[in-house]
Amino acid sequence: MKLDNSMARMRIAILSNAGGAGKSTLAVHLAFLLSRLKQSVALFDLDPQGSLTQFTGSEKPLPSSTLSAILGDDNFLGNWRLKEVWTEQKVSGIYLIQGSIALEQTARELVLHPRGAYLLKDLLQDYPLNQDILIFDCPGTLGTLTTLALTAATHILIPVQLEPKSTGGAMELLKWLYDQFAKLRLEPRPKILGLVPSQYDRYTAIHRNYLEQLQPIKAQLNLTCFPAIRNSKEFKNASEVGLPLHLHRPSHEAGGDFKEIVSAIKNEIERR
Amino acid sequence: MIKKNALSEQFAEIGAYQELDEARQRIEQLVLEVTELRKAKQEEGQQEKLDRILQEVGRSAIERVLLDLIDPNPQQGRKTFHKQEIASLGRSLERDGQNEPILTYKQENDRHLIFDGERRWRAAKEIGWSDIEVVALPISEKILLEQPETLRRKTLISSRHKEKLNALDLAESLIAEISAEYGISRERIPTILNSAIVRFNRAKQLNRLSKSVTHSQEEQASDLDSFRAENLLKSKEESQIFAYLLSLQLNPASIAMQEFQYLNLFDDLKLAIRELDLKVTHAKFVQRLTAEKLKVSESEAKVIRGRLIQEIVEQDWSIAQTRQRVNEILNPPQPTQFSKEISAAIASITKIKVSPEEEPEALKALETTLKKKLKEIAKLFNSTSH
Repeated sequence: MKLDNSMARMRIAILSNAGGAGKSTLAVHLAFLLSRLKQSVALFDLDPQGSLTQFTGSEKPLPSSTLSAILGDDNFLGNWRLKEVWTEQKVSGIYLIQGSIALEQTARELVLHPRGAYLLKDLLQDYPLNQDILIFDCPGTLGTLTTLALTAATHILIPVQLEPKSTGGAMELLKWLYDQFAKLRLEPRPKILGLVPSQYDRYTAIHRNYLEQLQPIKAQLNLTCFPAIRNSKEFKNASEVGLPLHLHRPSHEAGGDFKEIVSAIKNEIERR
Repeated sequence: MIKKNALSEQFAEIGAYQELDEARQRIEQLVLEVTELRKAKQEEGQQEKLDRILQEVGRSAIERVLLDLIDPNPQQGRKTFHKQEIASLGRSLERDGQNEPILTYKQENDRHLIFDGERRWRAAKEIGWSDIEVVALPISEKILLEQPETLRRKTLISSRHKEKLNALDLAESLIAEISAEYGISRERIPTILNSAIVRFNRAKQLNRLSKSVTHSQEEQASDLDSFRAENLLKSKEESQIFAYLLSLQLNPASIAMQEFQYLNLFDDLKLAIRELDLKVTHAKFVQRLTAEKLKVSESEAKVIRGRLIQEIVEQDWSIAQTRQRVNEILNPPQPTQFSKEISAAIASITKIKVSPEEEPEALKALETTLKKKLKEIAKLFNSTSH
């Protein structure tokens, strides 16, 4: 049974085991930078907090226009509720499927569904999207919604704050992933693109220390640790006006922090 | 100051998970290849791959499974088994024993579906074996979809052998899993379950609940719908806990009334259950020996419990003996109360100061009285031989 021909080339799940690790920031910036490479992108907000709505400057969605409406729709026929974003800024090709608090209910109901964990994947297979790349922004917990993204993903990115709880959480996440690969019978396994150290302040000793400790992960576990995304209040400002940094402060240095990640994604596209 | 290399310790652990996952992937790949060869009716090369599968899985994964719990796989190639072939294989099994485990997939109700080894299975049945050595394979979505018999996931996902865990371990692992799965805090799970069971009991629906345990997944889902519609289950959390337990074919009522009771055992008792083989049923009685009831400190109570546990385990006490002993410790026999008169007399006699200050006449009189009484008491004791 060939699964991949009809589905988007790359489906990237952004996971972390802690809130505030920078998932949504990473999601919107990757979407923007990939669209500059002429890739069309669909963003899926799997977080009940629905932060992608804010980060893209979108209007609060009607309940019927959300991801939970899609997942709960027994008669879904491919109406994906895509909303194009940043059109005022003359950006095209980036779409958003918005999240909402109703996703919490969805998560609870999925448990009782015979193919609950695979629902998103099944829908994407039956009603393929036209976009080149799908990005799944997950909540900061290792539960049903994250599993939903995992079964549908081809690649995984793990943002991690350089603080004790977050790095410890990232280690637990990795173990959880290997377990889930077996439990969910994922075939083929999604590829872990790497860890993305986020909100890095080079003047903070703890941050420097943890960044250093993460480096050997390539040699020891063959997992990439991307260059850190720096902590900048401009990221916060940009999200407040619902824009990526590159549109809000085009000349800001921090915009370049994503270069390697985008490069890695580009390589993956070209390999397929 | 952060511990240097705090993370690299964790890397090693993650590395182990990676290796395990890579081994699983190799096995899945080999199973696929064998399946392809079988489809193409190509005998050659199959055995080599089967051998490699066994190598990857390792001897630690071998279990003994009753022949009756194993089903032949209708999707597999070779269907004719010549009687002589099976008979001769049977003889060789008898002579040399089973050299290699057969390979299976796990299914619902603890049944197994044969992937490789049907001939050995048939031969074992012929010679009257009751069980056979088996290695159950991890399988992937691809294979799953090609073999609809293996579609019951939840039972497969639970890789524990439920019957091999004692009640305490089962209780703890259920709480951990339910908490992780649904985000319900661990302490609340038994309480939530209990209120639901009480409701079922009052409505006299516990029988219905037990029937649900052996239903299929779809039937269980519809049972839960009915329970909710009839207000037997009132919250999402209750539903989730019920759904989880039922999917593992555990009766929520039994879990509530037995296994979860053991969660409240003292740590020293839990330790004794695990390490000294103290039976859970006995532990429940020892649990009564709390510091409060014994009117001693915590550490003294622990010592008392420890001593009792040792006796129970070493002398292999029955439940009745344990219960009796616990009662004795909690309710020591009261010292007999003397009659008021005698107690008062003893008290006043004890109080008397025998000193040179006392009038010798008075002391002499006391001595005479006491001696007289002593004679009376001795006479009584002698006659009734105490």
